Amino acid sequence: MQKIVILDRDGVINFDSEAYVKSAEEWIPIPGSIEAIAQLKKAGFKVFIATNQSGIGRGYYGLEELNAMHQKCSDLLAEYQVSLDGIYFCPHLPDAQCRCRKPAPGMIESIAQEHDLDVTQAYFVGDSKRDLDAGLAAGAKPVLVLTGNGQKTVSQIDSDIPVFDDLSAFVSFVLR
Amino acid sequence: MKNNKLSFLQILFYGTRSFLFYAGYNISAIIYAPIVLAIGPLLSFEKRSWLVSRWCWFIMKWLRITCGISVQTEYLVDLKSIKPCIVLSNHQSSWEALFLQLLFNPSATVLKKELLNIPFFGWGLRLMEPITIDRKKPRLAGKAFLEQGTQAVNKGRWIVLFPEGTRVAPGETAPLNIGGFKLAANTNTPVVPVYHNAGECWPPRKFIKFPGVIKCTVGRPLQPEGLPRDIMQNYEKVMGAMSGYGATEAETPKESTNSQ
Repeated sequence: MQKIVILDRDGVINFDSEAYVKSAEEWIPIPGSIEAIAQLKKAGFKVFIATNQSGIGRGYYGLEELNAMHQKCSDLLAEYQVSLDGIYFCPHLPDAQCRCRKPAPGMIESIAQEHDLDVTQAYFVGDSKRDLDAGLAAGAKPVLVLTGNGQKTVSQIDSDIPVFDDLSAFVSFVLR
Repeated sequence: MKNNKLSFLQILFYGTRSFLFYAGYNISAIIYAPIVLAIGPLLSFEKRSWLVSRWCWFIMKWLRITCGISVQTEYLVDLKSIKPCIVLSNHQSSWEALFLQLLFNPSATVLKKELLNIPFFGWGLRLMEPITIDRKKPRLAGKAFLEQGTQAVNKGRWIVLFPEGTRVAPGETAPLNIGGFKLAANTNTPVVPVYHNAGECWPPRKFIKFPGVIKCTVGRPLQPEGLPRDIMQNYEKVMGAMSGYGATEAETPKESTNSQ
């Protein structure tokens, strides 16, 4: 069994905001999420992020700010001596009809192709319906967490999809 | 055998044998039940289960005598070497409910709550401490099952379940219920897959039975890794291999070499 986890970012790893998370200062990790990623890495999982960042397309922030946020995340993970296997983002506006903006499966497919992985063995953890739809469309295994938009999403999904309180709870269960 | 149209004489012949079987089945139950009800409560659960399993043993012998149905069991695991865990079998007949009591003892099985209220038979069932489902409260059923199932696991019993939930004709499939896999994941208990073709000799919901040898394979335990659905997918793969059949060994999916 391949050990692969792909994570949505906002609402799963860090607190989301309706006004978009626009800088490293605004990027605040949800308690337990950094440690959870570290546990996955230490258990031999490959961990990726696949995140919609239309804030770039809308001009709210740029690549510099995005890199700063991700550097902050990486620095926090470095305290556990681990690092992510890849961060994939979609900067496009919703009407661009790109392949990467979730619920399109493009980012997940890119991850699988570029790292030579079997996407059907990947968990895709998200807080919104578009995350789960992207996961399903790519053939991965969607998982819902109740942080971020999760509480609102839970009523919209099939009972097929496993639900966990947060990323930490999901990781505890998988690594039990 | 059952694929060909049966002649009237064949129906008469097999039907008579089935009738004899059911006659012995009911008479022996009437004789044996009071013994179980009288002695059962005084025994430990293990001894009680063994006592009931002796009736199952008799029924299997009687089935062979009257209907010419015997069983050939192939073990891919030495059951004495593993701790009692969750047994997930396919469901084609009424046969396996009896036979699996012999292989896996003591065990907890799932029953409708209403069955426990039947006089005599229901009281006997109560002694078997089954996991009960209240059909009138389906939304609570999953939760109740997990609670009772976890208790049974903690008491060190085999848990015998039929994920298909209903008897399915040989060659057909039914969507699997996630409950048993959830129980395996939540309690971190391995799953022993069992495949058999009892439906070919003892067709479900029919009176008639056909002579033959039922082949039963007890597979290697599957580890409860990942989420319930992951365990279920693994189970489906392994069961598919076991049912493809012959004397071929069921394989568990090999570790991929290009990850990490």
